[in-house]
Amino acid sequence: MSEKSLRNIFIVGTVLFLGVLVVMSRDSLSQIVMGRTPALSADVVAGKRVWQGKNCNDCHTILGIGGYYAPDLTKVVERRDPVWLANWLGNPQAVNPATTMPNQRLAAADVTSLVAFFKWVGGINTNDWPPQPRLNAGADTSGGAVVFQQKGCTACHQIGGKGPAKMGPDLSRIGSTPYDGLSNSAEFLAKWLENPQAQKSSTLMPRIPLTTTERDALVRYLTSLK
Amino acid sequence: MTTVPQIKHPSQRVAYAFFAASAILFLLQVLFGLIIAAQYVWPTLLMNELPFNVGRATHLNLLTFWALLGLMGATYYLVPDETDSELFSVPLAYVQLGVMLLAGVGALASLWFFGLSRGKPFTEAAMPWPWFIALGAVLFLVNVGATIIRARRWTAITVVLFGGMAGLSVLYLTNLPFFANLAVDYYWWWWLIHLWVEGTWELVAAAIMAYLLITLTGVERAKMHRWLYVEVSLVLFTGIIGIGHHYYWIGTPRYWLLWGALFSAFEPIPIALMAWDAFASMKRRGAAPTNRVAWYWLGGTAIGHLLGAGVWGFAMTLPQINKWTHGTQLTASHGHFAFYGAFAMLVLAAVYTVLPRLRGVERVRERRGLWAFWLMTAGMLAMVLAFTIAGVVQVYLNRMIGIDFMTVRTQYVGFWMFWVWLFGLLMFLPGCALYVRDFFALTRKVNLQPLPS
Repeated sequence: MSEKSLRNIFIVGTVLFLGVLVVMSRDSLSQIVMGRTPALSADVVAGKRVWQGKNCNDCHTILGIGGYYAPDLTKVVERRDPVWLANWLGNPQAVNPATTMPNQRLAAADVTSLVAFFKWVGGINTNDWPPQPRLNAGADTSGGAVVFQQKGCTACHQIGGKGPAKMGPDLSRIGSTPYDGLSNSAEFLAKWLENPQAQKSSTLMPRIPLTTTERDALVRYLTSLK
Repeated sequence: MTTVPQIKHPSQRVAYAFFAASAILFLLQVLFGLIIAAQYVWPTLLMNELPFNVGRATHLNLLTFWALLGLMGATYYLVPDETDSELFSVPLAYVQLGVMLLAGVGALASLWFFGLSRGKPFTEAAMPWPWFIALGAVLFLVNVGATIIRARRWTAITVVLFGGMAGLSVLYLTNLPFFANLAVDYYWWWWLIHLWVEGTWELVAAAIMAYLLITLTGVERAKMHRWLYVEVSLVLFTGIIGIGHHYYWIGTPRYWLLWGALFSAFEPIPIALMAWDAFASMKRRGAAPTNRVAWYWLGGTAIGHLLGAGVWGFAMTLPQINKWTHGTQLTASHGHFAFYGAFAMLVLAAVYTVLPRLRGVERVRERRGLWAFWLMTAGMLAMVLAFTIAGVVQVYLNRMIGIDFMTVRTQYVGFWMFWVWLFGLLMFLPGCALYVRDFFALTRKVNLQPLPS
């Protein structure tokens, strides 16, 4: 084939494929705005500006894009409740002195906006990303130790002197030695895991969303630590 | 000194300033990369002075800058050759370089000293600096475009090169508005990032590669021109809709799972063709190359592009796999390998080809250049391997078993990032420093070696 014909194929083909992309993009963008993402509010947009202004995205990923240094925040509202998030964003070191997340010195209004932004992001239809882990540890009778790891409990608690942080109480003997005057019965621990603040309002422990099987596995594990 | 290849057009000399800036920024990029790798291992290191996000933004922006300046330098060198005319305006080229450097320094200073950022990876530069970058791109296009138009020489190389440069400039416009909807924002962001590195930059790179192959191997020009069109056609025909592999999980419709997988599965084909074409051309050249360092970088970019972009990219491009690997250190392994193979090695091939010619000699003392090549290339391979293992460990423990992200990062990923840091420190950094030293040594006569008479 002559150079000229090949050049024409290159130009015409490129224009054609760009045209296809433009058509697909129009459809995609309208679907994104018309239902695949929740409705925007002024608070959400303000939160996005804080998110960008503080360059959070170069440590954290969101929608899987960004730095791989800190957790993905696409579905963070499924892991952490809004009160805990607001406390954390206001001053991470007050919640966990060992954390390496810098205090961004956010104004209270910025914190509120950021929480609204994360709630909004949590509502994006991501085609089921991130995937649920394959290992459903909660279904297994011995899975409490794995749930303990999966839910990031080790970020605050040590067991047997092992673990990166000492923020929360050491749970090595929680099955035999109650902590802080609270009960260590299976019933109480189950209630505690459901909602720590409901049992002790001053606690720093966040409410970690757990399925019933995950909670029960964790209670079995904790009561076995003697 | 015997008769040696001289540059035909004095205006080609502007390439030197672009290459010099590019070399210095390259070294800086590596230094910042080492700091952020070290922060994985020692998380409190410079935690307040240079937090990870600032270090990473610097690392990414320096990469874009030095690679672009290198590609622009190569363009300024080859366009007068291709059009057989002087560059439209030499002062304009220096003004353009000044505007670009001002934009770069301004963006980094805003980030470092005032914490200003637009908060998306690669495009962190705070306002008004993106406008300066856009201005730099326009000045560049005007200068190169006017040269080609004035000479009326639209060869395959100038068509593809100018098309790529014009395309990348137009795409940069998507970076200027603020989008309130995060999913819409990242939709357009991928137009910039993907259609740069898997589209327009590929055109620029393919054109420069074709020019270097013609220059260094003496392969028949008409044949190379036809090849170039075939390759860049396939790059765009697979790559434009191949953008879909970034649209699996970001709020975009489900049909992208099919379209993205289908088209990006074919993306390695043109890359393989390019590698084959490069080696076929290099093999046809009977005599031993007179400039071995350039020759090594040229062969290196053919292989590095194929492995880093083609193989490592393909490994995670299908949605069934990408679902688990998206946003992990595996992406970092692919990013490092592909950028180094496709663009860094190409810029260095261009630099080592052009520099001796600017000085009017054919050969350079090769020892230092070859050391730089091997240290950087072996160092990058070792780093990529460590990144890949870190990524597999992360995917397995965090994504598949479900162990908490920070537990995995601090207890398991950090170990492999230590090796990334170590190989970077002991191999890549010395290699890069040797290159920069060689670059400036090449401008002194004592280091140049005339052809044997």
